[in-house]
Amino acid sequence: MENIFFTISVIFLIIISVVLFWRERSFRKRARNYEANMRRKMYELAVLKDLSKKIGSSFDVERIIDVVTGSLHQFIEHTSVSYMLLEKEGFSFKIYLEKSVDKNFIHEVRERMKTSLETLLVKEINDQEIEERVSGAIVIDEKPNKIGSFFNIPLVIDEKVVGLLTIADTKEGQYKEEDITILYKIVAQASQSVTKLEQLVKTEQLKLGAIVESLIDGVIMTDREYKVLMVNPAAKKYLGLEKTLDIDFFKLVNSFEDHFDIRSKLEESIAFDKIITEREVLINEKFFQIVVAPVKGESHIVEDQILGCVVVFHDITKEKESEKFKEDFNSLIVHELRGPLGTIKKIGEVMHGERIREDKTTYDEYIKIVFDSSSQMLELVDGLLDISRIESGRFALSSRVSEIKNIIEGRVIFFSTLAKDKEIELISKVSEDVPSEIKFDPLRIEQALSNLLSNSVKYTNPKGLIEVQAFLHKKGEKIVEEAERNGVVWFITERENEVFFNVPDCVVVGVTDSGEGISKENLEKMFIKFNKEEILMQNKSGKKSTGLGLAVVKGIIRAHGGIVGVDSREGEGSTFYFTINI
Amino acid sequence: MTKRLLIVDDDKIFIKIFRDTLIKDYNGKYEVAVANNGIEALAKMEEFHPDLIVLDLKMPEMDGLEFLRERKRRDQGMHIPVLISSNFFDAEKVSEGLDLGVNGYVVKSDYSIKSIVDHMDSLLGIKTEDTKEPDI
Repeated sequence: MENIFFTISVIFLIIISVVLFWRERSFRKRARNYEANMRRKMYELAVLKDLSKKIGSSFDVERIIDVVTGSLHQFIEHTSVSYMLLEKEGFSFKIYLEKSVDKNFIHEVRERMKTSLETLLVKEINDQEIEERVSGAIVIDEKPNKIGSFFNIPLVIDEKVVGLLTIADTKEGQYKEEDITILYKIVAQASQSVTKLEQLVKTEQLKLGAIVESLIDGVIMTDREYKVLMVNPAAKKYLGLEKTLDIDFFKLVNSFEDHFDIRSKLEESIAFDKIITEREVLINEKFFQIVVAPVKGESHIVEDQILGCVVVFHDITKEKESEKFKEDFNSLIVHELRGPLGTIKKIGEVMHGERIREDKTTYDEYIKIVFDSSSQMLELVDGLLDISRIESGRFALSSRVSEIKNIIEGRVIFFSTLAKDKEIELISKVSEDVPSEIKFDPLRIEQALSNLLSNSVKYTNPKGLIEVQAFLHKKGEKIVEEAERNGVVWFITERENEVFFNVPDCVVVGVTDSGEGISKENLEKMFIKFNKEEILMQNKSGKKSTGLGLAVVKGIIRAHGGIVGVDSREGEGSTFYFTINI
Repeated sequence: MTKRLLIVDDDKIFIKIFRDTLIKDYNGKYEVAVANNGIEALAKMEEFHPDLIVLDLKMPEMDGLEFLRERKRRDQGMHIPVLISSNFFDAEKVSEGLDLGVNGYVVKSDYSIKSIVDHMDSLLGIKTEDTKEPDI
């Protein structure tokens, strides 16, 4: 019985020991595996880290592969490492020999790669398309070699196969799955970083492209050989090349004509690495500031090397025009002031003499000329001051409840003396429904009315008629019909005039004369743009008056929120009108 | 000897004072005709045959320089001396005027009538006479 117990105990112990032993063994084995795994992982990580450092932000696929293959010998035994890449034109095949082999070996690798790449790209590859480069150990033909083992890794960038990486060795059974996996991982990592970079560059390029495309400034880019790389829409427009396809350097040079020697400027900029600025180049009736600047590369491959040139056009026509305008306006005003001043001076000279004092008629005439000339100058200076105030927005109104009828009647009395001298009949016609209390700046409105009346008296022939009119306008009604109902004779025709659209309740004030009328051409000019520019235009067209008076009228009425305008029938007369909102 | 003067100017007041003075104070030394712009001046040159032209620059229809260009183009009356009289000095216009056969330049708002007449006399080769008018 004891024996049996002993035997069982022994067996039991043996079993336990065996189990323990096995467990221990499997533990050890697992630990060993674990350790190996860890080591490989660490190694992989180290390699990847090293690689990613070397690859950095490089965008050159070939360079990245060189880095990868260059570090292969650290962890994988091989005779050759090679890659075949899809280029812009054809393929490149590069093989690096770790050990010497014969030509056949290289040829065989190349053939195998070609076949694999054909399958991957679903495309036949012509031998002539492949550019071969061999580097590393020397080729020895006396020593025939065969491929013992090899494996391919496709190079994928941005989900597209761009080539193949192949490791080959003369020994058979050289590569285990683990080795292949590491390489796969390395290549995948490299591809990924390139893909990311490429996408980044693409977005940046798109962004940059969109900016350049939408720039108001013209931009042209060329490479070192003056090949035109880019012409943005603005540049095309400025050079009149909108409809020209495939703009080459020749077409570009031609489009500048003789105004700008783009060729020599580019040459100079590239040769001396210099930014050239040209002020005031006249192209197609526009003035440009043109900047020609060299473009430099910043990557490691082309450090500080000039890659090409960029030409930027900035349209300065507006600046030039406003400069010219200021000059013209100043000289106009100087001219307008010098006229009457010169006259006064001359009269002073003449009146100094004895003869004039005896000639009473001429004496009186000259006194009147002095009076008129100085009034003219005073008017001009006042007008200028008002215009400047209106233009700079410093035109303050002091509105208060006033009666328009009183103002109209007051002005009619004021101008009746002048009108009587020319035998002009001056009357007012204010409709009964015109409210007696409206809020406006009475002094300014009086000034506006004075300016209109003074013009009318000036341009109406003797024995003519001038009528100052006022009637009420209700929103939605037609102003011309309202004028008719109020028995007002005027020359306003309601064309499809946007000015008459949606006019709120207001009092319409008109000054109608039986003058010569104004030609259509001049009418259009008259109230379009009453500012200095318009005055200049009028003056250039030979009209003597500076027209400051009308500009001031427009400024006053605009400040009140009203509308102002003129219409005329040639040979019959004209109506100037403005509105005061209620 | 009476000289024939053509005044080309659109400033009626200047013309009045200038003509009045020439007629009354210079005792018929000048016979005066007036044109209000370049077009009228071209016509007056034909009928009046002036010995001298006093020309304003800024005029409607045809200004002074346009008149000079047209005169040169037609090759009409090129022998007649021209004195520009304008309200302000514009170097560009003067230099173009000189190319177009202009002989002298006065800024009429700065010059007294007497000094304008002195200029005219020297262009016509007349010795300046003392007149009743004092120089001021």
